[in-house]
Amino acid sequence: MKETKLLEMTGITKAFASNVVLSGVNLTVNSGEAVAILGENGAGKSTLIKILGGIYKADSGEIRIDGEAKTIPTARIAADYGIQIIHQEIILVPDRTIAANVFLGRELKNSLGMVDAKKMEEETQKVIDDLHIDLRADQMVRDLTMGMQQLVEIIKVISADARIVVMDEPTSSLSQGEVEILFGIIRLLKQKGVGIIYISHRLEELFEITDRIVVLRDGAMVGDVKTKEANRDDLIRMMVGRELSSFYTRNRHKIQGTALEVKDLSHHKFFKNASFHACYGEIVGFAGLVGAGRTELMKTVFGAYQKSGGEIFLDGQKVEIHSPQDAISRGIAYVSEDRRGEGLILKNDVKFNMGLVCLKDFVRGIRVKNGKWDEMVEDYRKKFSIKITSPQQLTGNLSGGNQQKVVLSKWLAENPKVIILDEPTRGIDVGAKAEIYGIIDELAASGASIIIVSSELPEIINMCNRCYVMCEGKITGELDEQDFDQEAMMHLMTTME
Amino acid sequence: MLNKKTSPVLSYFKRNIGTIIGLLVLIVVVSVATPKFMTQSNMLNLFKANSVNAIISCGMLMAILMGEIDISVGSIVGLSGVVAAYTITNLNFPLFLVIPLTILVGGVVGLVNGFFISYLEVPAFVATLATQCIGRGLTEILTNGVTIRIRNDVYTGLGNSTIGPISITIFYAVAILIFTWFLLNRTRFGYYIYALGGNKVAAQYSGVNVRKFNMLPYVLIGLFSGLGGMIWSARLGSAAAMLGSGFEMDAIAAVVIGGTSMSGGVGTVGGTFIGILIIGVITNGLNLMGINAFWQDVFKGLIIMAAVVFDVMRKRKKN
Repeated sequence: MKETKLLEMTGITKAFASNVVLSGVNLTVNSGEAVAILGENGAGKSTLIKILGGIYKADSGEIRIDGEAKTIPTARIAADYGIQIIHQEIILVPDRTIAANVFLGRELKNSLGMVDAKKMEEETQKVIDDLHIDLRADQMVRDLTMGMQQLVEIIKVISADARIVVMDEPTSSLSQGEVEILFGIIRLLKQKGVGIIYISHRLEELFEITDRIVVLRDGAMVGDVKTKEANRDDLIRMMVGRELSSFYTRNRHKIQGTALEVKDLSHHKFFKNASFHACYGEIVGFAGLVGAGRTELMKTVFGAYQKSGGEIFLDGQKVEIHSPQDAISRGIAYVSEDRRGEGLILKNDVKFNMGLVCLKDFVRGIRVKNGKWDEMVEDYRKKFSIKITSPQQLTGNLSGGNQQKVVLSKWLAENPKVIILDEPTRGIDVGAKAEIYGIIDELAASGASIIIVSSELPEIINMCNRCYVMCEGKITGELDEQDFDQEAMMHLMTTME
Repeated sequence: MLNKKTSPVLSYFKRNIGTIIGLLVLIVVVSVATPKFMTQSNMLNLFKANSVNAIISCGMLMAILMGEIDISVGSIVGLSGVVAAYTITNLNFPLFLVIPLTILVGGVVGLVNGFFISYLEVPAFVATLATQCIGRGLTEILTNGVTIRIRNDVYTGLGNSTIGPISITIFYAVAILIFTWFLLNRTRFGYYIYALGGNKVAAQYSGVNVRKFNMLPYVLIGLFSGLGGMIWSARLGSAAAMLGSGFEMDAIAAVVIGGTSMSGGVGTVGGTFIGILIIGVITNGLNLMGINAFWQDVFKGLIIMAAVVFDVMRKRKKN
């Protein structure tokens, strides 16, 4: 394969007011090459991508495409140059077909000037078949899983003849199987000579799919290494600029009596006869693919979904939980996987969000008093080193890590006995991840019973005392930490006994 | 501590700067156009004329803060006003029964609204459209199409007495404004309304009883509108079938002009207050200038549009 320079960005500098977010960054992408951009949140990754995509204008620096200097003033012109960005959030119209979404904004017309639905379906199906994906162009987007919807975004980009594809955390909502499909697609694109820019916090993925890794820190380029020659620890060190003594914090805690016990819990749609338990001071993992029913199981324990059968015991007592209120009053907390959709009220500020669960503790008579509330916010800000300019800062403007810390504060203020953490580090940068692991470890040390639902096996293997594996709505295995083994777990995740 | 205390007056101006400027511009234009505007008697008249809209707008604010709406308020005003007139004139009920009944009628309609919206998950627009129709129908049945006169000086005094030079209706409005402010800013009820409107799922998952707190505001809106019905029927000394018709529009306009987001979660009583004044100055000013009522609607619509466009542009700039 001939290696031609598809894209060269040199000396890219960008400042917002006096705040320099990028200084002299270089990025080259050859045809058929996948380049990873690695960096903590705030390192300048998204600004760089927005400059490439025509959303921001660089203060200085040069962009060359096929060796020719170009300016990219608008997103439309970026698309004309074949630059396509797949965003983390899925931006599709749910009640239209895949084909209608793929051709949205550039519908094909027939000779009468009317939209030619049939032709669009055929063209879309061709791309789908090319990529060996099991989808039909006339399926409604609403009926697809999150992962499949992400693939539709990719189909859309490919059918628009992209030459440079930017993928921003493409796997964050994909199951293992879907990740494999995605990687297959990326390999295919590389063979066709497309350049890929791949942004992800999951280092394992970068090693599997990319050819080169560019590391950004505080707006400067601190590394540009061949993936083959890179190693994990070096990358983390470059990214955070300091030694992460240990990424995972895991101390031995005394495990005491059973806190939560679930017997034969069923949901008419999502899972069947799930039985598990979690002890005080213990961290219990739930591994599985997206769609295995783990989130739904936890939401049922939490009362957000209604069970169709089974029993829940707390401290040996049978309890009936019909709503999140019931669960919270009994000391169960649930930190949702969907921070923005279910965890936070983004339109509201940090203080408001932190006080939502324990608001009743701040009430005197009928008045909500601010004194204790302000103290609580300040306590958690210090304890978790949450980076906010004021308690009145909107949570929608915080980074993922800080958002997660706000959500954790909200729950911990209630001193829950059982804390269910659903994908606690999704979309969070490496530095904040390590801090979250530290918090989890401390909680276990303080005697809380912790349940972690995670799609990242290393997270479960390194954090948990014990773990359950789920597949298609059933618990397919239970392993103690001495038996943790990635391969064995993958096997349990993908096959029914 | 990170908490910097800013003066509440300053932050109020900062938050509502757009609408405040709009209001000032309107006041200047109207004052220049007619010298009758800037007189004490006209000002008192303006406040009096808008006191019922202020009360209803407080209720409407709660509905819109939840990302919903209540278009039945005008019918509730009509129904309670007619119930008052009917029970006084046709049934000779004593006032100590009539007054609570008048307000409670509104509460009951609000309860029905809230129950359908919250527990049966009927979209708020549809549920309140239905009660709007039913409420209006009932006022027509009760009045039989004829205006009912109220010949009871104590009752009509509820809408026509003054304290010093100030109409009693202004006191009602101020009381409701303060009450709503307190409710929204100092109680759990208020915090939960903002939470519900901001993100219902997150509120539910944080242990908020969303059904209860989604329903209660509608009961309050009903009670406020019932009070509005009492005030209007007392002021007029009569109740007709079309009493209160179209009141929901002025209330929605005041809330929206006041910077409340139609998608919920964002909005204040202070902003709404300015919205009420803007609506009031427009109506009053055009009246003074002798512009007929049909043209007034056109102007009102244009100014609502301008205010909202201005607000949207300002917010877009900020991002």
